[in-house]
Amino acid sequence: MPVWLRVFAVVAMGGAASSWANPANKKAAANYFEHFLPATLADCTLCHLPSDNHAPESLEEFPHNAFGKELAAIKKTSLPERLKQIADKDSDQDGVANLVEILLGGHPGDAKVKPPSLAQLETKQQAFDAFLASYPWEPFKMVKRPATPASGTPNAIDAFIHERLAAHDLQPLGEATPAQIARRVYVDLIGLLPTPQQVAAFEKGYAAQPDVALRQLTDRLMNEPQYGERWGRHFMDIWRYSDWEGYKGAVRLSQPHIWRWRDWIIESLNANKPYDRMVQEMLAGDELAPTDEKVLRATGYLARNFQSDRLQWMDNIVEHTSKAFMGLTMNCVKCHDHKYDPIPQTDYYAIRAVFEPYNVRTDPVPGEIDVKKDGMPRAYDQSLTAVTYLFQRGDERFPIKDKPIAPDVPTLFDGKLEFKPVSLPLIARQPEKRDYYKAAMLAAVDAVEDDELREMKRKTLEQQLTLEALEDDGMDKKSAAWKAMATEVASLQKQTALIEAREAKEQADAALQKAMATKPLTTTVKKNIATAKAKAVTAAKQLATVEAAAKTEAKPADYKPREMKAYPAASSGRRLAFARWLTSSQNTLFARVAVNHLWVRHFGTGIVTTPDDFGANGQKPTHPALLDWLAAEFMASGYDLKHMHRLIISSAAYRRASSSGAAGPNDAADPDNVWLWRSPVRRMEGEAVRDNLLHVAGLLDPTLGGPEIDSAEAETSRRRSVYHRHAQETQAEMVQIFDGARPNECYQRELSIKPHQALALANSQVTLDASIALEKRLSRETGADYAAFVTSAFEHVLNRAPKSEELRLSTEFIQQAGKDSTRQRQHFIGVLFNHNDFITLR
Amino acid sequence: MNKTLPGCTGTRRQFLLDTGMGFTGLALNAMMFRDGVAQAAPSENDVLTAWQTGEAKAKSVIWMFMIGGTSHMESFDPKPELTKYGGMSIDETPYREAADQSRINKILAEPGKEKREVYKKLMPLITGHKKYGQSGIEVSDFFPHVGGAADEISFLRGMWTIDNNHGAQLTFHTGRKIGDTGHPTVGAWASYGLGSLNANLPEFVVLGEPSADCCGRSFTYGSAYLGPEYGGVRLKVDPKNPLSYVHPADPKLTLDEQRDAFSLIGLLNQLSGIDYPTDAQLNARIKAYELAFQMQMAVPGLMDFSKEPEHVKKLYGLDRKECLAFGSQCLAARRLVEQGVRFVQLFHGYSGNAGRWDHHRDIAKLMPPMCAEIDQPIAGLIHDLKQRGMLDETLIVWGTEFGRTPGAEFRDKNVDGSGRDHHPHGFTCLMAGGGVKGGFVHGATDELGFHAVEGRQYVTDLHATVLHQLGLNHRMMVPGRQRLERDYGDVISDILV
Repeated sequence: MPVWLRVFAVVAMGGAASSWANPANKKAAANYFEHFLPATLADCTLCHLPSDNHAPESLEEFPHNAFGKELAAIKKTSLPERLKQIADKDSDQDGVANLVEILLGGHPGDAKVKPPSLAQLETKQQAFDAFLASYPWEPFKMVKRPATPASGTPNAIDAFIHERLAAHDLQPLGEATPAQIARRVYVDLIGLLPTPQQVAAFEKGYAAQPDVALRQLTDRLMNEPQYGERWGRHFMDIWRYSDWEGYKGAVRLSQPHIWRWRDWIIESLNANKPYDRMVQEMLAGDELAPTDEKVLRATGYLARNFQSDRLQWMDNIVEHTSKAFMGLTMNCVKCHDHKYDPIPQTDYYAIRAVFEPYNVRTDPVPGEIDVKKDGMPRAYDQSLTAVTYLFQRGDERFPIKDKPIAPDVPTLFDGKLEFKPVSLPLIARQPEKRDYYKAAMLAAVDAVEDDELREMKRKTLEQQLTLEALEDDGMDKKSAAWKAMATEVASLQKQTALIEAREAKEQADAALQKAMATKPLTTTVKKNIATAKAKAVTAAKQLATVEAAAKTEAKPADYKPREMKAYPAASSGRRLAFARWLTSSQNTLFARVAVNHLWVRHFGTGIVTTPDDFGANGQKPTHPALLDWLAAEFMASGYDLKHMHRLIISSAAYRRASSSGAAGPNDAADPDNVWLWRSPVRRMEGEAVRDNLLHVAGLLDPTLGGPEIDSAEAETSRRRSVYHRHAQETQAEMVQIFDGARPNECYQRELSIKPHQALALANSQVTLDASIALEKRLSRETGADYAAFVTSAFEHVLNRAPKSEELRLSTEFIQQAGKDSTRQRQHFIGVLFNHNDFITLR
Repeated sequence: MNKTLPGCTGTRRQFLLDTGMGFTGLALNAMMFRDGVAQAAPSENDVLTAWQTGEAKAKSVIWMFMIGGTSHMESFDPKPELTKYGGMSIDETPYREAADQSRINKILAEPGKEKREVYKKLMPLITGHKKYGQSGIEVSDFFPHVGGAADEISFLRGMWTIDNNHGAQLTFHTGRKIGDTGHPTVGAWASYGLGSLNANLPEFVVLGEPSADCCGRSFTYGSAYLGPEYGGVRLKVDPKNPLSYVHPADPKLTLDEQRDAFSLIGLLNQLSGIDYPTDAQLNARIKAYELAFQMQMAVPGLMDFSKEPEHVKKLYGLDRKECLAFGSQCLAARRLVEQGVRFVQLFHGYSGNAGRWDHHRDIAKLMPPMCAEIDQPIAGLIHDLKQRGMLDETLIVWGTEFGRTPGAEFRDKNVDGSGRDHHPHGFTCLMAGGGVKGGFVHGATDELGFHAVEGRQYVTDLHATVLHQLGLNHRMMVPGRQRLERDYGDVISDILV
């Protein structure tokens, strides 16, 4: 047996002792002691002899030191518990207790290495005790709502934040101005800036009753359809929305018409569909509601993962489903057990097995019979018996075929995947039997120009559909009634064929005549004549055949049923079972990861700053108790996203000023604002930059949904950026320059500041058009009063009035001698669009 | 104010002082032009930043990176013993201790992370080699032009790195392993430490398609915590469209009008800065706008080679189809450096994946044409800089993420011994100009080209040397950002003139 396989076998068999072979335990020890573990012990040497510095390959190789031996002897309990149990023992018999040695930089298992001095003991011990007593971050344990710290604040979020601020001796800043708050709320919820009137109204309401005014604004904005567009784009980042890519019609990535999934996302958010239900529909909508075409769109999540390379396809769906809904880097486990988290390699394949049966197809949509022109890409189970094998070292050329892996949930969580096949109704198996498809077929017949042919085709189709329906209702194909009907349809089909063949011949003859009449007789013309001749001959032959057939009497066997796609009659049920588990509390990370993503998009960074990795290699949360509280609240609310927005926005933390106007002690103590003593300064995402140029100028087209718009039109289109084509190779360039989402993976946006952004904002057609439009509107309102014009422009673009210096500089700019004032005003609007504070949320 | 806004008129400057903004304005200015940026328009009176040693040997750097891992034995570190023992196992040669696993694990950042077999069956060299120049340095036959310039080059044959997979591309630029993406690249340090010699152009320019998503992507020219303004700016070698949005949408817009508008943008942003003195983003944006305006005037001309004499273009091989792409990058690099760009980073070998230099198979077929793409352009650049008297002040670095194994790689039926695997234990980089010795060999691998045994240099030693030659203290750091000793690197003083 190769060494790696031996290790794998040992781990897979389990047992307390064998878990020492798991590097996750090494990490667990380091986690338990955190920075209290001296660097000299931070590697394997806490439990192994320091002299043995090679990575152990199996249990037998472990030359445990006295401490390690003692630790290993305690079985069937968690590592922290074991460490606790032997903390006060003296494993190496050198007269110093284990914990004391660890804290003071000695070696608990080596009698020769003692702490240099006991002087620091009391302080260290106290600090370590305080560390152990602090809120434990246990992402793989069920969410339990922590007690809210005592504080004078009505919002629990603030109670948790204040507790951390106090612990770090930080004084939070006061509130931002109501106008700044309004700007944040508008952009956060609908992605569009408020008008000056909206700001004024909010200021007035806020002065009287701040909490009520904020609550009302929040609710109103969340009821706007733009809310779904705004948050839809956020979730499209996380769920990896990508329009299709391919070469010459061959699809390589994602699927044509995948925009239907985007529309489902936006509609679902606007309807405030519970988040857990949304995820269930995305992963298993076809098993959850097999005939509901509205729900089926949700499986675009799976269809988007289509890749012409099935291996990469499966890799992506496992990796990103795990990152998006579990915050686990399951992708690491394809080749080996996880180096940081307790995830054996088999887990990867157990999840892959959930997805193994699925494939992608395009179903017809109302009003169109050609799915190439329009359709709905969706997932379905192609095979109920798809088998998954573990690949040795992740290499697909070496599957372990004698040990198929069953679909299951990751072993570190509670729960077991129990699934049974879902039987599928007729229209789920044969979507071309949907009423709307039949209606579209009849409509297509009605479009035939020739009267005789149209009538005959319609009659034939109607009869045929009637017969189909009877068959589906169980009509016996041996019955006389069936035979009679089949004969009738067959006869109609023959007559239709005859008319069609006649028409075809007429057309072919006419084409030939036309070709022969062409002068001069060039080589091309000669070629055309030859081709037309051949076609005419074929048409004549076809007509002869059809005529001959028409002369014979129709028999039931002549009936040609409709050629239809037929898919399996059942789905494996694997994905549905998995989706139900994934969205249950047994997946301890489902709610935690989700609320962290919400936090990222309200505060710029997450409570866990690695939103796709909640494991030991990710960052620890800055506010673990707050994160757990939010997760518990989210679950208790029935996964109500709007409730969470309301909660976050109403907090004092959200309303804080972003700057005190001068550097203070906080800036030195916490320059990165980790403890949220101020509001972060955020820059709009690329989509919001482009959308707001149009919106502020009154040019934004509010149309919702529909097919993606070619990204080449991004400069001239007036639609919101979310509707523009978004794929790896083709994205709206301005959006991309402002750190647009990478379609392959974008759990949070990057932030860069580049000259190229300045060029894009200064030189783009969008800015030019917006400047001209806004100038026209504001000039109409303010006439020759340049000061009023400038003030109004500031209020529209920056949502604040100009200060006196700004006003003076601006009017001076407009009134330059010898320059056309209209053009100067346009330029001035352009200047404001390029002002840092247009794209910045303060 | 040592740097004025474009179109910033006297009256407006006066206005700032009159309204009491003078002090805040200066404070803001001091902050935004702190450190390196203050050097953007250097003059006699400029004070050195804390990191500047005052002993700069080079003004600019041209950093060429080959994506995928170029074989050192078939480029600049020929190993005749390989041919001698070709087909035999390392164990059958006198050099069997080279394959000792513990020696192999020693250098890797995460030894267990990426298990790679030791391919012991040695592959003979796929090309010959000869001695060049007065120095008599041996170079493979794939690089006759570079060989011809050997007397200008220091050959660093003792390089090693910490990753045996292509994450090493990121490592080559930051010294960190692939997971540590939050660290500045050498170009960003240079740009942070010094600033541009030409306020019209970015300090740090990237030409060619950078490393792919697998291997560091934008992090291979990123600036991380130094701030986005110090990251590399990507330009295309295309005079019509060197950069999108470089031409205003309004065809009637005159340069004066635009200068005026940009000037007002700058002033209004500065006024905003009074209220937000600690907002680093605002400062970066002010600078981005200044640069943007200047770039759009300066950049298109830079990429227009029509005024370059034919003999110069020929020098770079622009008349040869295979050399056109990289030769154009090299010529553009010279033009950028001439205009005062501090750091030009060239990429060669983008494949969307690990890189075109990643010759696991068919190395004998795939490597020669790739060498032809770069051989003449590199030599052309050295000669061109030399004839212009610029070589002394321009430091050229040629590198790749790692070398390739002396053994033939037998992984499966596709990788069947016709190529070489990744090899972080010893490989070669080149340096030329900028105060570096010519015709000099530093360091060596063992007889098989396996381990770097003499003059062992980690990739950050290259960074340290580059920064040192630019007159920067390579141990410069930002407070609160701890770095390991290895991350600083050591200046390779042996190769300095």
